[in-house]
Amino acid sequence: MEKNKHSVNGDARRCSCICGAAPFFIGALTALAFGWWIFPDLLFSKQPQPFFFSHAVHVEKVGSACIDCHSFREDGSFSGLPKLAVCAGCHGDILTAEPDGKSSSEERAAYAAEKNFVENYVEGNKEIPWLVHQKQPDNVFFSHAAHFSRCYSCHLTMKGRLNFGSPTNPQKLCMNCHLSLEELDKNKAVEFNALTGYSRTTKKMGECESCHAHPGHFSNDGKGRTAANNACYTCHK
Amino acid sequence: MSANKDFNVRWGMAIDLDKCTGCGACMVACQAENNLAPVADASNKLRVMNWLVVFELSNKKPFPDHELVYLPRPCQQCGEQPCATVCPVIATERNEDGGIVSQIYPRCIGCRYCMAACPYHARYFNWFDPIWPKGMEKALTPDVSVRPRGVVEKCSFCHHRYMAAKDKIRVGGGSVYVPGEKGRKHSAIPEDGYVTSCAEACPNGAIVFGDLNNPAHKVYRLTRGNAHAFRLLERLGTDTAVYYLSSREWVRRLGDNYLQDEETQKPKRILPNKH
Amino acid sequence: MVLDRRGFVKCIAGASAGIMATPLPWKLLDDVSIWTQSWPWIPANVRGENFVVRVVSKTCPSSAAVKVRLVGNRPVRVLPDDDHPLGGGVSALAAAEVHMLHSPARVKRPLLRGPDGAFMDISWSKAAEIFAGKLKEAGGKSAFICGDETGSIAEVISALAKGLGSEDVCLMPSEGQCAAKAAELMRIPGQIGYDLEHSDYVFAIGANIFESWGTVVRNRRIFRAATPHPDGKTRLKARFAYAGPVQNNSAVLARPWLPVYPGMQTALALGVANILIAGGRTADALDFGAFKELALRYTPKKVAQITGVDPKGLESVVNALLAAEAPLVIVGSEFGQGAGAAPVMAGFAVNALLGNINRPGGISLLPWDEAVLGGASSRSRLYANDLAARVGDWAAGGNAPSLLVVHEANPLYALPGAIPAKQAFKNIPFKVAFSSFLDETAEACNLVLPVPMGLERLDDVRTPYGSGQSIYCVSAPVAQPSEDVRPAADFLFSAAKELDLKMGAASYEDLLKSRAEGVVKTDFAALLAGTGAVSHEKIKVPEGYSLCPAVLEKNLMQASAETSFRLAPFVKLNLGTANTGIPPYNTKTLRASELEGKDMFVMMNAATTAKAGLAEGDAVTLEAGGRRLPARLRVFEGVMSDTVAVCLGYGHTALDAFSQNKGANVMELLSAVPEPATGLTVWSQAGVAVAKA
Repeated sequence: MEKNKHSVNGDARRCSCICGAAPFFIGALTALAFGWWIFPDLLFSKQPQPFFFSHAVHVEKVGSACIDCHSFREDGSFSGLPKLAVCAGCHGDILTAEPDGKSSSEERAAYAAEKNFVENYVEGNKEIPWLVHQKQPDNVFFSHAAHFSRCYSCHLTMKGRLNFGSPTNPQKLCMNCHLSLEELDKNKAVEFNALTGYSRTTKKMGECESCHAHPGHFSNDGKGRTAANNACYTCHK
Repeated sequence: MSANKDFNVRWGMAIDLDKCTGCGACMVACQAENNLAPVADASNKLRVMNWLVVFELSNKKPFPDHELVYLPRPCQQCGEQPCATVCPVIATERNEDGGIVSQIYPRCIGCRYCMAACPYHARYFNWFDPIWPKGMEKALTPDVSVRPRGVVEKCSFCHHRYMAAKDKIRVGGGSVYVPGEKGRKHSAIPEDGYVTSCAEACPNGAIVFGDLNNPAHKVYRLTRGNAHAFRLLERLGTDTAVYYLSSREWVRRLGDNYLQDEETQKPKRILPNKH
Repeated sequence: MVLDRRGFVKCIAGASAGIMATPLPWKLLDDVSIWTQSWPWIPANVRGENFVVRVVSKTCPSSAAVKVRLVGNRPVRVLPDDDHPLGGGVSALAAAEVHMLHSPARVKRPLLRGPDGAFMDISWSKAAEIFAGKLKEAGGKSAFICGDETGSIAEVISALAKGLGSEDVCLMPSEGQCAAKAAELMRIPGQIGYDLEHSDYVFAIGANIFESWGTVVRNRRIFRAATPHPDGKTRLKARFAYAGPVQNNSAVLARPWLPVYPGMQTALALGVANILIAGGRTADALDFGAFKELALRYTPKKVAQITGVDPKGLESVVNALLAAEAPLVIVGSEFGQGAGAAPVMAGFAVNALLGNINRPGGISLLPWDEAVLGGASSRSRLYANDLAARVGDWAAGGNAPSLLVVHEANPLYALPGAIPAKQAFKNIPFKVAFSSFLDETAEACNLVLPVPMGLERLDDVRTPYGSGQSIYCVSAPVAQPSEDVRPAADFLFSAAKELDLKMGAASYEDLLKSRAEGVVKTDFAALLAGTGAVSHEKIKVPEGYSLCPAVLEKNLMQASAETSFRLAPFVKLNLGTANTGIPPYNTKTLRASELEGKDMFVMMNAATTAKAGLAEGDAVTLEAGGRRLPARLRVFEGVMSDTVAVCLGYGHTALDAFSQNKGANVMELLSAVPEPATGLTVWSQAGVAVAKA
């Protein structure tokens, strides 16, 4: 009886040993799932762009390089997103042919989109409230001019950590920080961090330092290097 | 960190005290350029933020022999910074590109060691959040970030203008440095291409700004071998980049704590390459 | 399975361990640290393209030509315009102008005083209706005060007044008015100009040429160009001397500064004339004989007695004048107003003796600009109306108009306390203020019409007093008005149309265009772009001009009141004007020795302080004419003996927190007396009693 009792107790103990670890693992797994899958969704809010803009179409029809639209100003500053006036230069009127019975659904969609743009923005003289993927904090001074003229002019034909593209595909320089045209053309919603307010793709200081913290030039150790120094005032204002 | 390296370019000032009338235009221009918030009552000078202050100097003689001189005091941009050496978080350092002492606001933890260390009282602590009267924030410049409560700030020699001037050269296809004498490099920015807001605003031309190492610049001539030039607390060895010019001996004497019979000293680098 | 306590703890432990293996804690830590850097109440940088627009400041009394930097469409900075004849650097007031666009003191919409005495918001159409109604009702019984002596708005106001049958159009008292009166009495049919550009030695008597006299920014630029920096080798040539009671911003640069009692410019100038005449200098004026007789009575010794000047110092300055190739003597008020015509006449006489009239570096006689609008009074004609005397009349009853229109002026703050402006206002049943800021005068009006600031409107500047050449500038608006405002000129044009009055131009732009193309003969578009049209045309020195010795003598005879101390007001531009108050960005420029909390400091030298039985920091009361002024005392050795120096610009009761209730308004203490034989009212000499409070 006593033995029997003992054995019952023994089973219970073994059982509780297995079952005893279960809450721990359940907790751990839940936390892992939360931390890896749910938390990022909670942290980032998705906001759609005001409307779809195809970089690919514009690159094909208007210009081949980024700086044709995202240009430098004479005073050395970078214009960033083109103002409505630049768009209105071509899209003052609707360019797409008005759809008729033979038009495909894509042609109809394109016409509707352009009509919407011309009527709402161009005629209303309303700047497009684009969401920016790479907006840096106010205390950062990122010199597009420095990166474009200094790095680009040499690195166009060199191989290194930074991919500077080729003369036929100069956009690649920009794509080291910015989204590629293919990514952009997927028209995904922009994800903004609920705490910081910056987009998910905004470069952080560590990424700047992947080159800036390695002064000196010409190295084959695979690290990005820069002739610019890493002093605070190089990038801060 | 603060080894007094002889940088290629060293931005500096020569402030002509014979020309300053103390009108305050430089102080207003500085605040406007660097987004300092106005305050309704500015009498508590320990709490008011001013990157540039115009002090009043007197020869202390009774009327009618009294003489008056005004002395604008920006950050002296020391070669040997008392401030940067005490910063526990490296929120301030001297930039080898121009010799300007930086202040990085998001990095600053507000301990104020640097303020205690600065012999020129050039550093200011944000005791309060910067508040603009409603709508006035529309007149802020985009060049300088607005500092929150709790960090230290100071004159940056309008560093953002230096960055902009360099970018202008880059976009124009030029190089930001040009070779100078003795293997030195000079900034390719023309002398009037980068000027601080105070120097620009001064209607009397009392503040001359330029590269102390570039013989083509006015400051070079005004500061080298000029018997009428002096620096503040010269013998402290801070090697400041701000020189003052005055034709009056009593003004130059006020630049340092001289003994009664001691002769006023001329600017020189007291501690070259100490570290 | 039931989750017991132990199981729960295990679960938490597991979750804690698990969470550490996810990015969550590290990402949160990082993000929170970034979050602490961007508070929503800290304004963010708003980027945009930079533009620079050239304008002439209508806010700064120096008519400074400046460049406004815009980012996108936002004006953010006032920068110097070195290429403009009126430019070169910025004044402390002009530098703060873009921020004043958003000043809390701005009038945001038309205001009408309701029956309960409080202001109520009204629409512009309602305001126009009331205004036109009142104009019609008052007709010839309307009066106008204009605070802008250089703009064409004065002409618009005068044309409107003419149409209504009123002659009561007055400009606010200014140095320009004193000079115009002097020119009139001397029978010089032109504006007195000063060719500082070509002068190699300037002696300013009273005139604070670097802060309050004439084209301050231009004056400073000329000084800058002419003075080299000290290099320890070349002996710097003195080129500027100053005589005045306070070691002010001009005195600081002067070699030497000659301390004199306040309001003594005429006597001192005659002292200079005396030495010059004794040295054989003559002038070809009609009444030079009588002038000589008068001047010879003002020997250096006598002048020293009257003015307190050091005779040796005066002699050395006169010697420097004689040694100079192009000497220039500038006589004006120590605080930009109220000195009368006599000092200017005496100054003109000295310059005539130096032989520099219409010579390079001397006095230039510039043609007056004529009115463009038919029926409007010319600028010189408007200068002839003395506001102070009229306000006195109105206060006395009898002649008070039934409508008063005040344009960009603050007479209730800016006129001397002895002039009963408040009483005059009480006697006028309906008052209208065109103003950008809700100042003391606007607060006392029945209808307040907000006008755009200089940067927000189209306006012009006609040869400001002090300029050595005729200049015409047009200032285009650089910013959209930040409040619901209308330009006064356009409002007046439509009011005139309502009343069927012929104005001679369709709009203000039309008027400026006619002036540019018809009178100045310059392309209007070029003027709009910010280039001033300069004319070097001078009028001949009239053969029969007079030095008015009789007028001078009468003025010299006028004894000042017997009081123990003399009052020396002075001006600092960083304190703004009567219209603007202290600009928000300028409070920090006030030193601890100038203003502490609500206490302003008045200054006396140590000897005077001892004589008054006071000590540094004492709370004192200044009293004159029964009016009192509280202040604290600062011992400052840069003040003439027996003199109390008080800065203007404090003591606003209206406007905003940046100006309100800071110190007291020294204008309150000033007495006003008619200047003998000129018809102007002067307030440059005031006795004051100083007592411990």
